[in-house]
Amino acid sequence: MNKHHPLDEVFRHRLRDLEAEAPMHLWEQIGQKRDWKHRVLNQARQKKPVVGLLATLAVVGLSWVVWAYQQPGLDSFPIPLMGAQAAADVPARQTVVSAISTPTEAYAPKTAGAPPVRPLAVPAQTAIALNQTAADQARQLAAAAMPAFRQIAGSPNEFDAYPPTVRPVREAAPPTLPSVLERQPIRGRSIFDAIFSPDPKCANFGNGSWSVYLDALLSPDLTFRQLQPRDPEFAEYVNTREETESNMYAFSGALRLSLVSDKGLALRTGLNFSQINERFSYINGSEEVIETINNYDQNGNIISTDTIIKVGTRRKITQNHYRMLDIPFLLGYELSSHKLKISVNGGAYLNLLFRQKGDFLSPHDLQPVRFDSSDPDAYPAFKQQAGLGWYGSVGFAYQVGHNLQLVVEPHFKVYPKSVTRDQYGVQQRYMTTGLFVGVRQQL
Amino acid sequence: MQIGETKNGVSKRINLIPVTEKELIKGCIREDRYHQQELFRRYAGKMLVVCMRYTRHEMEAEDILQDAFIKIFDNITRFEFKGSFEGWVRRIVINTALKNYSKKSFKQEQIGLENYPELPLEPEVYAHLQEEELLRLIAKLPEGYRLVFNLYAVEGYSHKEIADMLGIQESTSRSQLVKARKMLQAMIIDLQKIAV
Repeated sequence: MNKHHPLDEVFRHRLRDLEAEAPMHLWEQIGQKRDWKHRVLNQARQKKPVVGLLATLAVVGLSWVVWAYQQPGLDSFPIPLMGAQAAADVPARQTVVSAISTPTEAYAPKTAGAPPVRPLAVPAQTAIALNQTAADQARQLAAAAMPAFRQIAGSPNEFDAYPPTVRPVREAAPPTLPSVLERQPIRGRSIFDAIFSPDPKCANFGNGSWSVYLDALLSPDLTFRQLQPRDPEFAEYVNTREETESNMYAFSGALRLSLVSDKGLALRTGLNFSQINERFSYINGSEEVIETINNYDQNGNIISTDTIIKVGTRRKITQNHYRMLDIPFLLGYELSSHKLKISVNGGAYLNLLFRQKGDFLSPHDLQPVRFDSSDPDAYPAFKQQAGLGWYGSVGFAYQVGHNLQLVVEPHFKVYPKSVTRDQYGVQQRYMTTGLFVGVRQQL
Repeated sequence: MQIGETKNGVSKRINLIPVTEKELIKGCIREDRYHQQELFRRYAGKMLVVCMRYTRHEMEAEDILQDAFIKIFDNITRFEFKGSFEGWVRRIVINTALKNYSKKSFKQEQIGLENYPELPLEPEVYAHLQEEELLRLIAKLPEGYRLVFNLYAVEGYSHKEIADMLGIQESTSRSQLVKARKMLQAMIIDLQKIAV
């Protein structure tokens, strides 16, 4: 502690804890300066390592997605004898040459004039039969290509020893089929693969790429509200609120960006707006309205007066709104069957804004009071953010056009934390369920 | 429980249960507007006087207070619940006030004050001074003197701390304090003369 001069002592003693009245316009100016942009930037400044990590992850993820899209797809690697289509797409000369060089000639005996022979060491499965049909087509295509080859070659070679109608069939026999089927044993496939991917040719040919989708969804919602007293003395107040407030309707809308891998893994995020509407109805006591009607004679003089007393009940009815803006972070898994995709999704909803407006009964005197998140003078019962919510859904997407799908998604959403402030005597929680309907566009 | 009558359209402001300092800080960390307003209400008055001690005009003090509270709300997550919260708030307010000044203040204002004599005053002389008068006297001090006097005499910082905070030499801080005292004493004597 400093050794104080008497003068210092006087100033310290008199001024150190002196208070003045701070003008409230300062508070309003602080509120204006600390708008949402300021707060977001401040949060980012304070969580530099986390933001840096997220930004790095985002950049790496984006780069990877771009890289994956730039990789050659399946079409860039012609597999000549995988099926009829592949064989047809490949030039005739190339087909024959590759057939000659393949060691799978052993599957078909080189007997002149013999009818087309089916491969020998092929498992007896339905899927193989399908491929054999394709193989037959490939053989025919290869056979058609052979004369052309001979003309181009222009000199006798080993092909001349065989009748042209038979040999190309054997040479063009689908060499890769047995090996492909052996690499894809049927018994190793899951029941889902068997249902949704019956053709083994389609199994597991993904190159690890991701598809990007934009969803636009709307949903009518059903809301379940839980009011719970923080203290037993508020139990009766809770009952009174239950009596005076009722559900009306709710809805939500979402714009979501989905990243779906060819293995079915889906990452979804975006923006979700939801609104819950409730009705506050308060019997405001009975009211008497007294009307006085004068009766006049022919000269305009009042001859009598009728008094009518109307007795009725006054009600205060208000539509209360609770609006939320959330960012979903969802993880999902998608299964595909031709045009239909079924997905299971779950994850968190990060609430950005929670805004409310309406009336309810005050816990202090059971009189209606106004709550309004945009008015600092209104009753401060609710938080400005609802915290973290949990979301689960099953989605059905049906292909209706090029890159366009119709989406139907039954869902539920729970906010486990109370949306009321700690000082307010009642905890208020929400759970909603609904049916998202909308479109999904592949980008 | 009876539901009472109401006056239509009239909403009442209900006073809530007072929150503790810890709840207040936690509320501010959650960016809860109610708690932020309550924190402002509790500390703004005292901190406004702190700002007034470091400035010449009330408007300037209000600007500093506003900037300081923005910093307080922005950085309240850094308060570790160790030590006095009011002390933490006061430190931010003082630092905000000091940011307005540069080292120039100390060089430009070292002229002519050696003429002020060191006059020991009787304690009863001080007793008659009101708080507003003391504030006015401080406001009349040149900036450099005012800062050092406030930091040393009122806030209780050492010369080393003041030198670190202001980026000046310790010796400068000492000399500024001595001159500030002389000047204040002279002004108090003048006040006494006017009163007589």
